[in-house]
Amino acid sequence: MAYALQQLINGITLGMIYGLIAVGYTMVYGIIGMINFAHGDVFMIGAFLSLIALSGLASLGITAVPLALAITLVFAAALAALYGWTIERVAYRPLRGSFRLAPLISAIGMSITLQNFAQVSQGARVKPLAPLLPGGLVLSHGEGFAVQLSWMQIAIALTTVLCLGVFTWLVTRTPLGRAMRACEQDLKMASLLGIDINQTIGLTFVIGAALAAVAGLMFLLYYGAIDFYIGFVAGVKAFTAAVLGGIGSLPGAVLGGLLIGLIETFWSAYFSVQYKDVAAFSILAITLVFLPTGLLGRTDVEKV
Amino acid sequence: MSRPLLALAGVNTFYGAVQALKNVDLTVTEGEIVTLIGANGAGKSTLMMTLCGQPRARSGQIVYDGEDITTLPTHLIMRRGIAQAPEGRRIFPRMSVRENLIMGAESAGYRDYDADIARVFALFPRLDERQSQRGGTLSGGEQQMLAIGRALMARPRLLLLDEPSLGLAPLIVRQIFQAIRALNRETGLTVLLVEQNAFQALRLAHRGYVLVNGVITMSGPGAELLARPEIRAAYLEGGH
Ligand SMILES: Nc1ncnc2c1ncn2[C@@H]1O[C@H](COP(=O)(O)OP(=O)(O)OP(=O)(O)O)[C@@H](O)[C@H]1O
Ligand SMILES: [Mg+2]
Repeated sequence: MAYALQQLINGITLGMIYGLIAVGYTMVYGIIGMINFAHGDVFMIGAFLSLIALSGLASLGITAVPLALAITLVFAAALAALYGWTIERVAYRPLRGSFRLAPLISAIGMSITLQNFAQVSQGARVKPLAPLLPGGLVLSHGEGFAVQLSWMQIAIALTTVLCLGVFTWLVTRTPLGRAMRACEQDLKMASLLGIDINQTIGLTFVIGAALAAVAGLMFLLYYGAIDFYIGFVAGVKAFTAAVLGGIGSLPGAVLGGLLIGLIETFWSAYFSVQYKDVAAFSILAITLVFLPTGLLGRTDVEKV
Repeated sequence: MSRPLLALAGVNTFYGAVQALKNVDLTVTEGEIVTLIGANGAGKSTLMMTLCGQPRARSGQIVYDGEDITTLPTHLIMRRGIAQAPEGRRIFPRMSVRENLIMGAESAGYRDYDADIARVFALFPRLDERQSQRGGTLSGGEQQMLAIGRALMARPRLLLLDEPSLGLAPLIVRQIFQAIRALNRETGLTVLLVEQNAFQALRLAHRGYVLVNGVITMSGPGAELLARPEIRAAYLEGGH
């Protein structure tokens, strides 16, 4: 029981990270109908930017953990947002309106470019980070097993909830969010109502990239090690989460992320760590076969 | 007559290799109601969309309020005071009625938003009752009302209506035509109207154009076109 509870806590933490990345996949898919394969690599860039910021702040003598984390978060999110905007501008926008596979190929190229860039500029070896927030709350001591909720997990949960809260408010209550939803539902009509669709699409990439960078920071803090390749694996899992939740659905992305995190964690705990990625990808295959619209995907009952 | 609010000169529009508009000249003067009639596939909707830059005219010139808008991006054209209730209504299906109307106010920068939405609800009480219903679940006629209401929310100087009577009961159609006339008289709203119902449209409009296979073949005051035998034969079959 205690062991399972611990896995639940770990799984939710991991799932939140996947969920934050998945939101970016699903948003971009919703608005321009393409899978942004470079999104996982923006997450990786966000993790490296976080590492750079944290080491920079440490060398400046800023060691108060909450302050350092807050500065790092803003720094990484802002710079990753710039990456997101640039990627859309140079790799996707010029191809809009050309044949369907063109942006996809461009996205794969962009993904490889970002990985190589990180590998060359940061080195190929794993970069460690000393734990910033050691310790935590011990919840119970059943059967000689202590269930622990680490400070880091609490920080990750709070940050995720905060980011998703701000994001939800943005999408549902602001003119920008309305414009994004309008573009998602009918791009041409949105432009007929005076919406600058290029700008709206660009901002969608900006927001997705910022959330991915937050996820990158949390991944760095949680695992304490990153390399140029983390974007691929986490990216594919987050993409799986987006498909599982129903691609195009924002709550679906978060739900899918949590489920993938839980499945991966429980699988590793009870079956085999080596095959945890296989478990996640099997879910993707099964979902696509039996539930092509995902858990919260649209069934499209509307008259259009 | 003052200078035209809208003037098309020699406009050609293509879909791939197929030419949908051929050398179209058309003017709309401020304060006028102008109607465009023609058979299915004549190019009426193409003309309305070409004005808005989607698709873009391959050649020719479109001047609005003295400015050449031929190559202006769509959103900037619309921000100059043109609104369109397009063919197929294009309601946002996963937004509420109210949100669809708010989207309409976007290009006007939400000026006088409250007064405008009250006016739309007065015109279409049906929408008032269904403010929070999702656009995609409205009936066809309700969607048409919403499409017109959304266009009015933009406070346009030039209103483009593509078959506003489609799918509506005769009583509602009469109401809409009355509303267009009232807006035109009271606020000087300029209207370019595409209609299947040529009889009602020509009676409402000051002037009309007839489009055949992408070519303007006739134009003139509504009453005059209405009197022509070839128009009666082609477009007023079984006319009232
Ligand atoms: N997206 C498109 N791609 C290719 N051809 C098109 C496209 N849209 C319209 N057309 C063609 O252009 C011509 C004009 O179409 P348009 O929709 O403007 O006609 P319309 O006068 O509005 O007809 P209706 O009364 O049926 O609405 C038609 O032959 C149509 O098949
Ligand atoms: Mg048409």
